[in-house]
Amino acid sequence: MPKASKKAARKTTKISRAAGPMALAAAPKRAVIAIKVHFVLNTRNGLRRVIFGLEKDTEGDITKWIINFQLFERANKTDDFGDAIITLDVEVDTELNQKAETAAHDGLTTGQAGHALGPAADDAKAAANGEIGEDEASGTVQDTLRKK
Amino acid sequence: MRKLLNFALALVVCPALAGQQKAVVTAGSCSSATHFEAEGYTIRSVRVEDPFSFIPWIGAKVHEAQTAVAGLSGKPFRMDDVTKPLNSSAFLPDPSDQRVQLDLIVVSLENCDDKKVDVVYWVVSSQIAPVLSATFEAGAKETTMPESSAGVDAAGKRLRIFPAAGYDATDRLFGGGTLDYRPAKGRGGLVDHLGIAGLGSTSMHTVSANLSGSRDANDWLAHAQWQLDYTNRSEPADATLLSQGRLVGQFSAMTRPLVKLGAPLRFGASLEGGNLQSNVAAADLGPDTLASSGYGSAKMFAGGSWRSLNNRLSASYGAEIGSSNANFSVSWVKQIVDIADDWTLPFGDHRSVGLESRFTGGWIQLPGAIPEAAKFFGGNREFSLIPGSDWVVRSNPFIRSIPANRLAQTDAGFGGTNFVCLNLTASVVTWRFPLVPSEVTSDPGFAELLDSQMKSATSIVRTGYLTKEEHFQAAAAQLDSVKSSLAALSDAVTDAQKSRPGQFTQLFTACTSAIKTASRRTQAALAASEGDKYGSVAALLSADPMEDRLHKVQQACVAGLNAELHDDNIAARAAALESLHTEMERSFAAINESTASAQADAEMKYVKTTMNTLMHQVNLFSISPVAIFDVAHLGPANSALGTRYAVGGGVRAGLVSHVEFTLGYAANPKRLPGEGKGALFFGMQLKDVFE
Repeated sequence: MPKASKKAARKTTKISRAAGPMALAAAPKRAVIAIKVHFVLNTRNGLRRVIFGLEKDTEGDITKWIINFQLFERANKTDDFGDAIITLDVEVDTELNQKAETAAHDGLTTGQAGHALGPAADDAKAAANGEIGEDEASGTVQDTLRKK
Repeated sequence: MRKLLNFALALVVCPALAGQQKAVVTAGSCSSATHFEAEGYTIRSVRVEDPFSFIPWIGAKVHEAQTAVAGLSGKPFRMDDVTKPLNSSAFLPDPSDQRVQLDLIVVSLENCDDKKVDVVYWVVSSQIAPVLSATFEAGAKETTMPESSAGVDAAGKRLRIFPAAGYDATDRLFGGGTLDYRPAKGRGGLVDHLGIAGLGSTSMHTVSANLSGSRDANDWLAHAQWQLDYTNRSEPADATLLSQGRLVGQFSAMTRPLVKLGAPLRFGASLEGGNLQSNVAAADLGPDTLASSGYGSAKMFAGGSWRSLNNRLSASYGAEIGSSNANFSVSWVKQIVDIADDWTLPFGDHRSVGLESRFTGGWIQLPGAIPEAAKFFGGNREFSLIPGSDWVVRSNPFIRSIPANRLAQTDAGFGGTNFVCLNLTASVVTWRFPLVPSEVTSDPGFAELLDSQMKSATSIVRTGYLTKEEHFQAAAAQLDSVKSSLAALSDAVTDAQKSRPGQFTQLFTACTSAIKTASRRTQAALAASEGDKYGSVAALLSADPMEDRLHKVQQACVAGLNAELHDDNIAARAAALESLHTEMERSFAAINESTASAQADAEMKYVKTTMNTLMHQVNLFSISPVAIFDVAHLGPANSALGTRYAVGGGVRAGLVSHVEFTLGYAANPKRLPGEGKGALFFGMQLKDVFE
């Protein structure tokens, strides 16, 4: 169920709690419990920025992925980006969970990066301008995960 | 001697071994396997850490973030509350325009005693310039000024002051500094840096002023810079004085990494003029040498810079054509070859053994008369062929056992017309405090996500290279025609709908919607700058099966709507569009993706190397014993007169981005009468005092 908001973005990818050599060795002094990561995509001309976040939420056996998508634009490179034009928090269809997991851990592919900066950003902007509905824009954003 | 060696060995090895043995269980340790929420832990304290918090503006951000999360103290531990409150992108300077950005927050727990924990947010936000990080000099900067390599120092502060001090037997105790002003990015026109520097002592002075500017490009030429520099200096050379006043205008540029070479090339040229003076007695002047003269010269320089994970190599060639005549005929031709290599072998946690080596050779041909001060003078000070530039092409014999300018005697008088030198410096980082906590860098999740960020950044860079590919450009060249064709089809559909009111409503809506979306993608592709078009162009074609917008127009308007209408106008317009579509598909399918991938990988290789250095090698504070060996020959002279050695050692200490100093002694084992037994070398570089 997509939802849009202007609030500040956040994204959390929680990592396996018992993973890795730190768990095998003597108890560590400091335990890492979560890592938050954004994929920051800047266009080559420096005028548009997309932040593509993936947040995993696990409750019991149910895994839910949320895409936090933010679009920033500026008129020229000397300006600050300021607030996001639009922020879309898109709950990912469960059929795309594996693709979300892969993107979170392996990074975005060329097709995904191109889609996020292209059609996804364009539809997000169109939604912000009222040209299309936020549902349609959220669908385009979610399609990023389907790209090879 | 043996005792001395044993002591040196103990100095180097013991602290390293001591550091290796620290991995023992300590009270209050935390395990990531613990279910802190279920087991009823409460939060004792919360703090925010950033490796670059020593920079004032980031320190202020850290303080703000600290205030934002302070409310968690004293509350029960809840995973959701702990993992969500911070946004790391706020820690990057704005406007930030590097395409490669890293944006991570690591949440960790400490001191898990008595069902209480300390929550630590460790933030790293970096933006790395892919091409500039490829240079030899950038690699050296990563360990001394990591905030610059990480792109977090581009804050609003414009004026910076860097004091400097040192001692040299030639110059005596000297002091001075650099005043550096940077206009707001993009607001200084062609100028993005103004600098004034001065050093002085009882026996020397150097003052300089320069204006410089630079531009990054998205073409094969990645970076270009220019500089206007005025320098006035006077310094002793044995019993004489060498002086120079000059104005230099220079340009240099660097290519993107060449795929076949795996490295960028750089090149440049300069024009300079002024005067070169000395008070050398006429009897001591060599043939074809003037004590003082006005001069003009042109310099050309070129080179390459290679980096791998643990090695940096730079090779440069420079030539100077000078004239001491009013008619500008060629008086001298100076050529320089300079090769430098820095090899680092990491061991343990943030420790490393380093070997810096540099070979330089130069020779002068004299079709006319050369001013004395333009000849080669050796000693423990380096001079670069390119004044005031980050790119260093060393142009004199460097030997640390002889004070500056005192390696000067040749068979042909004072000052040399050829030289070679080789300098070796070995160091071992023993005492250190890492910039990035080892608990963070050794966590497998952190390494994995850092890698995923790098892969994403590579994908972005690759899309840029794909848009430069000739077949992509052929596909993109059709966009204007596609836009017109879609508009014509839209008009035909509108006309058809007007003539059939109330009929085939769903089919008309589907066709109109498909045209609108395809038109929006086309318009977005046209509006995007070159390098940003890839996703929008792909969305029109079968390369993006989920989008494939031109095919969807054919489906909705021809196979759907016009199968019912049999409208000739729609059929003609759709056929024209399909012809363009087919042409675009053909071009897009022919794109050679492997070339773009190779180019992106070559460019990102240096970013990965820089990131590896920042994460695993840079220390906030470190002390390193160093050992040195130099050999230099100044000619024309036989080996007895012109060849010298330096053997010695010392200690190098640094507090990252604040102060760095090296103190040591180099013995002169093969000295001439009147020369000292060696030279003390001491240099201290204070970083910006306003930081």
